[in-house]
Amino acid sequence: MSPSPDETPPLFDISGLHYRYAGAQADALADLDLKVHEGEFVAVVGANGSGKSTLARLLGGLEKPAAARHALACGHDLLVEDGRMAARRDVGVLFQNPENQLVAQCVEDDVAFGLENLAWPAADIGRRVDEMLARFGLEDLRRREPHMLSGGQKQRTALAGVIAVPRRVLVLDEPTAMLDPVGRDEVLRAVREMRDEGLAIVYITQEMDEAAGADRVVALERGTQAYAGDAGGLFADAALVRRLGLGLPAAGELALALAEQGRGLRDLPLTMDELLVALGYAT
Amino acid sequence: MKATIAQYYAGDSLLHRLDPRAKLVAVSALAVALFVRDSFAGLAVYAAAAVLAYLLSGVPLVWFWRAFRPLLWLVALTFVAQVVFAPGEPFFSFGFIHLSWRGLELAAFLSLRLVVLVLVGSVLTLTTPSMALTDGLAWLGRPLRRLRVPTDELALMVTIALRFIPTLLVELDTIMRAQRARGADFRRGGLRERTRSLVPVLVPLFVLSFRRADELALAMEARCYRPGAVRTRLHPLRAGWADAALLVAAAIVIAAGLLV
Ligand SMILES: Nc1ncnc2c1ncn2[C@@H]1O[C@H](COP(=O)(O)OP(=O)(O)OP(=O)(O)O)[C@@H](O)[C@H]1O
Ligand SMILES: [Mg+2]
Repeated sequence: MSPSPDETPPLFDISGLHYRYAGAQADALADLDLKVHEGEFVAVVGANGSGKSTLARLLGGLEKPAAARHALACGHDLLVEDGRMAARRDVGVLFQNPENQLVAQCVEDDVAFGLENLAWPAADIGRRVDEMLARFGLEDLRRREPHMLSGGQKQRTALAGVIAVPRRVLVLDEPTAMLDPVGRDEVLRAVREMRDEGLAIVYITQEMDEAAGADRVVALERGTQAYAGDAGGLFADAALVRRLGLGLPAAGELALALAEQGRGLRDLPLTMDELLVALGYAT
Repeated sequence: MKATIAQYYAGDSLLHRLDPRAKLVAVSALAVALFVRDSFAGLAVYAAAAVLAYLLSGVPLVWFWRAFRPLLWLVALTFVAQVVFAPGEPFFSFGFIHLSWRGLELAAFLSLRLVVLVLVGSVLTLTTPSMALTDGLAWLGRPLRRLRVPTDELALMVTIALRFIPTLLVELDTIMRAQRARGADFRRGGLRERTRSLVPVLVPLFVLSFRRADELALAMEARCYRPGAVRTRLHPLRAGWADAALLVAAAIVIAAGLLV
C-alpha cells in the first residue's frame, strides 16, 4: 500500500489553512498543511480541543475555511461554495457519535439516505444498498430501528451510509470512541478492510494503538501541526509525546515498564507482535 | 422502552403491501363518515368493516390492546357522564345517579364509535411504517407546495422526530435515574416542587438535543443533503390495482353505512 506521490495528484492538498469559530479568541486551526495520497492511511492525533474534528469538517467541505494558500479536496477548491459541495460527494466523513448520524427509521433506509439525496434511480439505490448491507454484515438488520441496534451496529450502519455514496477518500473522526470493545472491533475490522482495498483514509483517533499502524501520523497541537511523519518517529520522542498530551501504544508502555525492570529493548515496539519479537517469544 | 404512537407491526399481509396514500385516504374518509353517521345501524356497518380490516392485517390482538388500554378510561368517563347528566326519562335514580335508557344507549354509541375509530386508526399505523406514512402525507399535501409549504422537508422532519422519540425516552430515563441516585425524588411534594424537581432533568435533555441537532445536520450534509433539492426514494410510493380496489371498497362501505 505504498503511496505514489509523483504519479497522481493528492486527494487532499492543503496548505496554510486557517479556521476560527465565530466569537472565538483564537484560531481553531492555524497555518495547517496536509497532503494525503491515493491509498494512504493517515492517522491524526492530538489532545482534546486540538482541532481534529474541526479539520474533519473542513476536509469534508462542511465548513468554509477562513483562509488558505490552497485547499483542494479531490481536486475541488474548498475555498469556494461549489467546490465544497463537490467535495461533500467525494469525501466521506464519519463522526464520533453513531446515535447522532442516523436519520432514518430503519437500517436500509438510512444506508440509502445519501443516494436518495443525490437523486439516484430507485433500482440503483436498491442494488447499492444491498451491496453495502452485505459488505458490513447488516443484511439481517435491514428493517431494524436505530434504537434497537448496538453501538457497533449503529456505527457500521453509519459507515455503510457514508460509503454507499461512492467515495474517493474517507475521514473518520474517532469512530470507535463511544463504543464498547466488541463494537470497536467490529468497526476496526470494517476500516481495515476498506484500507486493504486501497481506499485512502484519514483516521482521527485518541487511541495510540490505532494510530501505530498508520502509514503516516499527523499530530495537532492547538490547531497547528506539531508532528508529521511515521508513527515510530513520534512515539520515540518521549518529550514530544508528553507535550502533546498523548500516550504510547500498549506495547510501547509495556516495553517502558520492562525497561524500568532492567530489560530495556533496542527499539520501541509499537504493536504486540513487535514486542513479542523484541522479547524473543516470536520471530 | 416502547413508543406508543405510530407503532408499526412488521408483517407481510395484504394491508401491509397497500400504498400508504390509499390507506390514508380510506381511513380518513371512514373516520369522517363515523362522525357524520349517528345511528347504530351505520355504526354496525363500519364496525364490521373495521373488524374485517383487523382480520386482514394479520396483526396479533395484543398489539391492538396497547392502543385500546388508554381508551378504557375514556369509555368509562363517557358512561359516567351519561349517568350523571342522564338525558331522557330515568328508570332508576339514587342521589345524583340517574339511569335512563336513552343515556345508556348514547354512552354505548359514543364508546363503540370511539373503539371503531381507534381500531381503524390502529390498523393503519400498525400496517404502515411511519416513514411510509409521512411519505404518503407529503404526497397528499403536495398541492400545498404551491403555497410554498415545504412539504417534503416537513415530512423528513417528522420522520427524524419519530426516529428520535425512543432515543429521547432512553436518555430521559438515564438522566432521571442519575438524579434519583443523587437523592432527587420526582414523586413527592406538591405540583410546584415536582415541577421544580424536573428542571435538572429537562436542562440536560435540552442541551443534549441541541448538540444532537447540530451533529445530525452535519451528518446529513456530509451525506449530500440539501434542503429543496430533488430527492429520490429507495422505496418510491407505487399505487396499483389493489389500492384502487381499496378505495372502491372504502367508498362502498361508507355509502352503505350512510344509507342503512
Ligand atoms: N461549535 C464550536 N463553536 C466554538 N468553538 C468550537 C466549536 N467546536 C469546537 N470549538 C473549539 O475549537 C477548538 C477545536 O475543537 P475540536 O472539536 O476541533 O477539537 P478536537 O481535537 O476534535 O477535540 P476532541 O478530542 O475533544 O474531539 C476547541 O478549542 C474547541 O473548544
Ligand atoms: Mg473531536
